[in-house]
Amino acid sequence: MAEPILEVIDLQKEFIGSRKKRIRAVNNVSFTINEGETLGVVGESGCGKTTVGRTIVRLYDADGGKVLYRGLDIHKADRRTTRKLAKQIQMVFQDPYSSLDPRKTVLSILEEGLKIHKLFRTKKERIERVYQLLELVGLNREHANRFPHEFSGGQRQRIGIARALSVNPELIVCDEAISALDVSIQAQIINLLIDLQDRLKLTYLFIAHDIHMVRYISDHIAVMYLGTLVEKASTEQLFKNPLHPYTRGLLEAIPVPDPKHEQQQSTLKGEAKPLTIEHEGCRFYNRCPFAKEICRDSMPALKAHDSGQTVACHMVHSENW
Amino acid sequence: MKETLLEVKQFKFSFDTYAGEVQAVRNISFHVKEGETLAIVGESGSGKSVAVQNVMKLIPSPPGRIIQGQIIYQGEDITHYTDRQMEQLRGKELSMIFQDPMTSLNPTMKIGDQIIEGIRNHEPIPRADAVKKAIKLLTEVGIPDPKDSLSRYPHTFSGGMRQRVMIAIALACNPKILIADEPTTALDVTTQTQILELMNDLKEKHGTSIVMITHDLGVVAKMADRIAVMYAGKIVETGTVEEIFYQPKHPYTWGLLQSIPKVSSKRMGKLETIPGTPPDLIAPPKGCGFASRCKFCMNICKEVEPESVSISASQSAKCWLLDERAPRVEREHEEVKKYS
Repeated sequence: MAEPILEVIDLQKEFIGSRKKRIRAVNNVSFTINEGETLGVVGESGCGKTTVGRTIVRLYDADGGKVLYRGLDIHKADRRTTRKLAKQIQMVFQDPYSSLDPRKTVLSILEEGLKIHKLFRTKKERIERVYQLLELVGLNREHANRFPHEFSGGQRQRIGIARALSVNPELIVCDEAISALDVSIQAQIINLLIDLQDRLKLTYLFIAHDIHMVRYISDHIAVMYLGTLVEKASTEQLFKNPLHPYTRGLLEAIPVPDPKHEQQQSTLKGEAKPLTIEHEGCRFYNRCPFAKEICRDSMPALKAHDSGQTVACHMVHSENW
Repeated sequence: MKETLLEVKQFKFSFDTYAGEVQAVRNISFHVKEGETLAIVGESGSGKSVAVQNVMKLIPSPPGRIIQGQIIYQGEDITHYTDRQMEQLRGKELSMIFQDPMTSLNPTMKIGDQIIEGIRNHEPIPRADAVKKAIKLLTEVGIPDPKDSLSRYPHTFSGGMRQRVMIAIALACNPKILIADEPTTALDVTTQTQILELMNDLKEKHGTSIVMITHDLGVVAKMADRIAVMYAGKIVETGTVEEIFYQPKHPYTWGLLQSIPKVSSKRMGKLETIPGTPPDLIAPPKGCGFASRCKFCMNICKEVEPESVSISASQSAKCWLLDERAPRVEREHEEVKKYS
């Protein structure tokens, strides 16, 4: 049995919206990731998936709950431990254009982490490591002295991945790491990520909205809606038997690349609107085709269902479902 | 037989840049018939947006430059129309919606005024009637409280709602052709479905032809009647939606169809990819543009550009493999596998 590497317990994060409204971007989200596995987090824009990722790498502080990395609460760690954690948990960002410093060469981008964490004594060793990293992600050593603008989107994302790998992390948070790329390039990057996972025993938190790619790379998937986790299951289970009405709607909405496929009319009407902190009841209430009174009045808890996945829905857990 | 509305013939278009002449569109021809949806697919940089923006004449010259070719709308050559002449067509005959509904609406104007502006530019009707028409349009595209919405600004709407407003503006004067450049790329999937369904409904109701640019083959399968596949500034294959999905002939089309993940997990094998990146269009390759990435590349592919070969009345492809002297090759995965 693989050990949990990351445990997120009742994580909360609030932002102040317009007119001083408090908006709870992440509301009591809990999940664990086992070592060497990939957890995919999916959901529409504004569901809080990026906020979760950013809180895990401490780009944001949590407003409640805990993030445990190998049992250690990362938000309570002292400076020295935090620095160590930064080496263990790395991030790959969405936009390969704005996440690389345009004035730095690839060498100095990749070298930066090595310097900060004092991983090598001499410049020569560091350069050797940079060459090794470039080859690891499918580029070559001649690329080291170039600037980011000389590369295509896919190549830049490879540099972003090399930067994350440079300090030998254990966990990598990929926040929409392939969304900005072309379809044929997306597949290349996904293959690279899987290949690296096998070779370096990495653990991924893979945040994306493209469910095809998430399905391909993930062992488990967590579905988020407006800050809450509505369903969590193994990838296979989720696609075979989605339980939460939102998960179903989401899966139905994906256009199938087959002209003979008869697509159902979408069951999800309307759109997700951010809710203030005072909101009680299920956050999916106003769009849910099965909503009853109880859904308006109380927030369903995430509970295990007979079929093996966990789901937060009053109706799914009721007897006559 | 449906009438051909729009025809683009042997069109070449370049941009003059400091680095040199970028040959964005290299000799393409396509047509759009009444009431049909043509989807243009391809990677970024393949020239698909440049091709359709030229139909609307949205690219300033310089840096853009027409090298050769014709754009014919309803029998009339509009290739060298002036801005004033184009104004008669834009909105009334040809309309366009864009990828990003945030930047394509005017943030300083109430949406009601933006719709009414379009209507009154083409029809001399009193403002009160135009307001009524705007309300009707907003109802049609599914905006709640259409009357109150007229006096709201674009930033108060969500992405999906803004795209609905864009569609309302585009359809205000019943255009014959709606050009949609990646209309749902910036939207969430559930919103995307709603917008695509809306576009299909409106097409049925008004008989509008749609030219749709997208890279999402799922969207193409749902929307298109015919498909044109673009690569490196050329249309490499064109055909009906069934022909392209079930009997594609060009290796690039095969690659596109294969790079959709079919296996459901990483435990079941690697994703098919097209190795490499598209060629530089400042110095386009002499032969076939796809040669450097093609598994089946032959010597001739690097030297001479393939001619278009017709496969059926509606399908044609540009590839040396279709030449009778070429070796027979099989596509590796015969069919688009069904999704569970």
